Amino acid sequence: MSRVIYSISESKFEAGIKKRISQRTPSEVYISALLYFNVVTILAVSLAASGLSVTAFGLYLITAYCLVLINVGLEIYFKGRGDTPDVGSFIESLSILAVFFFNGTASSSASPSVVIVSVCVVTFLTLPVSVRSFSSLIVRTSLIFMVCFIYFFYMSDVIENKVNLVFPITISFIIVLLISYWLFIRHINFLHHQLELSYFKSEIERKNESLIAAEVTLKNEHALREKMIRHVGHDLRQPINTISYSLFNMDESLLTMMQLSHVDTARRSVDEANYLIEDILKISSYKNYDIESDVDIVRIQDLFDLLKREYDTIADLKSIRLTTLPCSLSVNSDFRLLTRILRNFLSNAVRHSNTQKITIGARRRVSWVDVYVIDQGVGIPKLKMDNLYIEFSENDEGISSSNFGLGISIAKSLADICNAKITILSKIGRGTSCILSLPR
Amino acid sequence: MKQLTGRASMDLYESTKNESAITRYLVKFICVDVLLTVYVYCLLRVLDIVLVGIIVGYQPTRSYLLGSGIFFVVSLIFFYMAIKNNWNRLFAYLCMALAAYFPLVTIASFFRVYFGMPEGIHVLYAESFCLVVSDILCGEALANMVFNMSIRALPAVLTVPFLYWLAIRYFQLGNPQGHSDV
Repeated sequence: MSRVIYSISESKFEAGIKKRISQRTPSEVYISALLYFNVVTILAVSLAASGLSVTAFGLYLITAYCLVLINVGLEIYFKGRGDTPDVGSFIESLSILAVFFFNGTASSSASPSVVIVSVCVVTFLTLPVSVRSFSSLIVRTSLIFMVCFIYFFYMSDVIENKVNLVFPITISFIIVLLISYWLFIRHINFLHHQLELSYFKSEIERKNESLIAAEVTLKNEHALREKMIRHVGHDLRQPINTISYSLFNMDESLLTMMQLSHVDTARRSVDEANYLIEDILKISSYKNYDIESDVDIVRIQDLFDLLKREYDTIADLKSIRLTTLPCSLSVNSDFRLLTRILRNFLSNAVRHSNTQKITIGARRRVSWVDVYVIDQGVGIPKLKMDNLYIEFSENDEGISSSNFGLGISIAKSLADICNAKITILSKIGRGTSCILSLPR
Repeated sequence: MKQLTGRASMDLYESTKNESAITRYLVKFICVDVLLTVYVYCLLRVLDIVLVGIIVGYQPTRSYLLGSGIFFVVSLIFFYMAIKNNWNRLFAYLCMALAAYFPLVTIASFFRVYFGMPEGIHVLYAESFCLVVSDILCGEALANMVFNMSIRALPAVLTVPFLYWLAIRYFQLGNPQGHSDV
């Protein structure tokens, strides 16, 4: 039994529930008609048990059945026209009058227990299908019962017998009323929950639509921002390259030591600026997932040879000994992306570690290959290790162009595309190992 | 076609789809209906014998053909409604049977009482329930006859819908995927 006694007037879905109850499908009309037949029959049989003559019984039954059928016909006919007249309800109530015209005198009283059992059992069995027409049915039935009781009370000669019959009929009716009310409340609760569900569903759909619209706006803004970054980056390159060209083509023989030192500083700064613009443009494209991997068999030794050729000169300039350990392993991956990742490792090692030796090698594991770049530089502080993959993370020295953590972040994005994993191991004063684990 | 709203329009749409199913399976279902009518007839006879021994004061009416005849006609009407409205669930058939049988029993009893019944049974009922014995039984006798016939019909009411539903499922009548309004 439902624990909540639902009150229609307190619900914001009141109109919806009333509308649903009033809109009956043909099936519901037929079921309701069957219920009316049952109630009318029970009433007629109860009256017969209390003394109504067979002729009166038959005439009452025929009249009531005809009225119900007319009501059903009217409901089917008027359904959907938006204006169902209450003619059926009115002419159904006329069935009460039939009781007065078709009465017989009381002769003997039927067994009260039989009346109670029959009325309760049959009415209860038919009530599960009656909830949609509950209120009007009970009002009419109550009226009929009340009129009949009053009639028999005042018109009968043998009051005592009538009391014996009225009491069980009344008890039966009260039982039926309570059960019907319980079923009605259950049905109203069910309708209420249905309306709540549809309300929440429409709310969810509305919110989804606004979320989708917000996502589209965000994506557009993001694309616009990325586009702006690319344009600004490309536009910045031109003056930076011009400065770089001018600085590197300067005749150093005409400069003093102090001026040479300033020029050297300027060159390094221009280099850093170039690297920074490069990194910003790269990470912009990686975050847009513009990169597609082209998987093929990659010989690790080919990677090492390429990197050694690229970084030998820079390493020599910085007095760094760059060593690559020979390797005969191969992996299935994208050569281009692996090169970029290892370039990032090498760039970081060359630029930030202040090392004298950088070693590049590979080691076979059970189901993957570790490619490592090891330097013997200053190492990375433990506090900074947690923010290593976050772009633009600071270190203790504050933000400077040489300390932006874009390189590792870019490498991680590329590693995700290749289904590879990056591990950074570092110790202050001992150096850093950047390990790229590739599936075999 | 009438303009109907909501579920009412869906009802008519589904029902017109199934008109062909009704005509296609009509012969098969008449055969099933005849079998079920015979089953009901036999059940009523058996229960009359059994109930006399179980219930004190039970008066058998020995009215079998009338009840069986009404069952045959009404079950054909139900078949039409079931196919038309895609009643696929057993609950629908049980509900319909329970809802329909009491009025039908009452009508059958009325016809039996009013349009003549065997002399022996008439006298038996009149003496048991009526203060005055006349050509037409009193209301109390009619009420008791209705009650007795109701009790007698109850096993049939509870078993026949299940057989009915099985028959419809067996012959794959109607649309198994269609929705049920009940």
